[in-house]
Amino acid sequence: MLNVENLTVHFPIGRGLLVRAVDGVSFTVSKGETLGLVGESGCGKSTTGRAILRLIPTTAGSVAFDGRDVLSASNTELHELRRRMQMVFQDPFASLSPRLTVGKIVAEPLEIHNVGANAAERRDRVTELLSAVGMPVGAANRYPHEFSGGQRQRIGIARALALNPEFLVLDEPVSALDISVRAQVVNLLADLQQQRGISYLFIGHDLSLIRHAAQRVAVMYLGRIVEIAPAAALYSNPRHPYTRSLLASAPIPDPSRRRERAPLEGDPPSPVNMPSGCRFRNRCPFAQPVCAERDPELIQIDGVAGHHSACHFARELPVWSPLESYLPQG
Amino acid sequence: MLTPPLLSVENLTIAFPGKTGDSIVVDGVSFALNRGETVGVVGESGSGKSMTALSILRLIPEPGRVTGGTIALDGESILALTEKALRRVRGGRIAMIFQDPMTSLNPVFTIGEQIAEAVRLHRAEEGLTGKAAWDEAVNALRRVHIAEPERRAKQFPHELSGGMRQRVMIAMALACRPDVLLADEPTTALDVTVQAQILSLIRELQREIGMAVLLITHDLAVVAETCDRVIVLYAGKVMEMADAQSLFDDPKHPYTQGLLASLPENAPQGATRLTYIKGQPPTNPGKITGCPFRARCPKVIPGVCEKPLPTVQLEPGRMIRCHLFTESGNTEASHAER
Ligand SMILES: Nc1ncnc2c1ncn2[C@@H]1O[C@H](COP(=O)(O)OP(=O)(O)OP(=O)(O)O)[C@@H](O)[C@H]1O
Ligand SMILES: Nc1ncnc2c1ncn2[C@@H]1O[C@H](COP(=O)(O)OP(=O)(O)OP(=O)(O)O)[C@@H](O)[C@H]1O
Ligand code: SF4
Ligand SMILES: [Mg+2]
Ligand SMILES: [Mg+2]
Repeated sequence: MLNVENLTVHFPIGRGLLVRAVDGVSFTVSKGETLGLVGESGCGKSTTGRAILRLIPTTAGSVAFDGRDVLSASNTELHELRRRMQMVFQDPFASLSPRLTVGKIVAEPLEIHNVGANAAERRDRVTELLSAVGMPVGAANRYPHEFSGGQRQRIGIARALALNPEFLVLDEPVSALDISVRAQVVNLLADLQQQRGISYLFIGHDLSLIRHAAQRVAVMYLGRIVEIAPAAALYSNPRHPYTRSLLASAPIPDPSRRRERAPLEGDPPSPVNMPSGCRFRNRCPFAQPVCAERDPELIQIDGVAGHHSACHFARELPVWSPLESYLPQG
Repeated sequence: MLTPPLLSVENLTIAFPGKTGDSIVVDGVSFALNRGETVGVVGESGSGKSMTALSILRLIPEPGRVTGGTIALDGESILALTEKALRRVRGGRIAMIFQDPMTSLNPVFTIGEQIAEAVRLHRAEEGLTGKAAWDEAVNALRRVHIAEPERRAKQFPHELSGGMRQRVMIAMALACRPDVLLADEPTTALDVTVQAQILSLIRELQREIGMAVLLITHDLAVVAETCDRVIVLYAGKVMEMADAQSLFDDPKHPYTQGLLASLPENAPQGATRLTYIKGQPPTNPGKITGCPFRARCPKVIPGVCEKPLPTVQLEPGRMIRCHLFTESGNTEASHAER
């Protein structure tokens, strides 16, 4: 369905410097599949999502959607593709026009793409969409600022669903929602997937939710995918030290299991000044001299189809036990 | 030897006037915040968490109003402060991390200037003016684990990722070493490793300067890991208040129970669908007499839950507002079971 190859996005920031926000990312998303995308804040997840939909210019690489080249599509082709590929933006505050009523915001894509015979039909569709995402009745006539953060996020989801897209980039779609609504929206997305075979690229920080929602998960660090695997394999047998840090840092919803976590030491290097070799090496507890010399490639992990890790020691890392990385409190 | 709490909120009511009358979004909320403690606020989206926090700094957006109740810092009413005194308190003794970093950062100033300005305003007496304030701003960025703080300080908000903006907000709030930190979803936009670092930074400051934290979040795992006590809001009302351990071990309110059941961690093994609370919250909870949760409550007692909500003190520090815990509710419930 979606085939992303060597996607690269560099932002020039003056004086000849480049922010290497996305630096050679490749993955596929099949029809009806959800690929989870997690990773350090600032590692390029949103930029990846935006580049796929061609909302920002790409430096190199290719994106194919349903066999069609997105990055070199003509304007008319792009208009058509935009109908089939949509995005739910990370920031519900910035992405909704404050001057339009909620009804107009959700109806806008319908108007742009001439969907629905008349205004009344569009209104019905808007009502249906808003109730599907659990917004209160009457929301259509109010303005975004009259709603709480979580409610605005749902308006963004309703808008993205308006055109029945086949592929959705969900950029932290439920982070601003309370857990009950979060569960409801995740169920809704799953239902839509079942009924219509929509594919999702699901960006998020909530690891237990991603585990539930995605069939496969990709972990990004500093512009690269460092590990990608079926969800079950990634969580039970992570094969990259960064993935292990992430899993070990996740809080647990039980005060009696409160622990002082062994923090991931150090700070991420800057995407302007990449270290030599492995990008994770200055924070990696397993780093060896070779890690400074050679940039690790994604290698196949034995025994699990589709499990790849970009660590020189991906196959040698000790058996994963999440509890080892916790220090009991006190 | 009863010392007053650092911050106390009594019977707070907030309303938005509208064509069809006031819509009450916070309804009789009371709680106290003591020095050095962390109190979590959880609840339905739209239940009034942000409005409660904003009212403490008198920042409720127009045309919203505090229509009742008191807010006191060290026994002194905040609602009665002059504008000038209020500006000293804002970002000084009480700092806030806003839910939406983009709208609370000024797009035309670099982030370093914005933090330095706050430092100059509130910490001038420590000699933090001019260049010293700038250096402190860079330090603040370093403390929230922003790589290359010197370079980042000279960037504008739109050049940062969502999580970095969030950290800038946190750096700004903490740079003034406040007594009270109102943190509205402070770590939602952050990955869990940075989240863990920020939460430990907040704990560190708590130990160092006795800062009290009101932590608003949807992330129950973060609550479990960091909060001493928890307030559960629904439709503008406090439904349950308890120490964190008791709340997670034994949630009493049907709404709290529904919330905890919605966690993916608590989903039945192998379930493809997550549990959630069916139905919608009321649009104008102020108009509802009786329990605002009753239309969605699996344990509703018809004929009882329409009556005004009781406030039941179950044990010291544990409060619940639910008819199941009153004399009549109890009898009705046990009748129903028979
Ligand atoms: N317009 C821009 N100009 C310069 N740098 C940019 C721009 N947009 C993004 N960046 C940089 O690109 C990198 C990746 O940003 P991106 O928003 O994709 O991160 P992210 O993974 O989505 O992070 P988060 O989890 O915090 O949302 C960051 O270092 C960011 O500062
Ligand atoms: N300008 C406004 N006019 C009318 N109602 C408003 C306005 N601003 C906020 N509200 C209402 O106030 C209620 C409380 O909002 P608040 O932002 O405090 O919710 P919240 O609990 O912080 O939610 P979230 O978890 O989604 O951030 C919401 O139901 C919202 O619709
Ligand atoms: S390649 Fe080396 S530095 Fe990179 S993650 Fe693996 S062990 Fe660590
Ligand atoms: Mg992002
Ligand atoms: Mg809020």
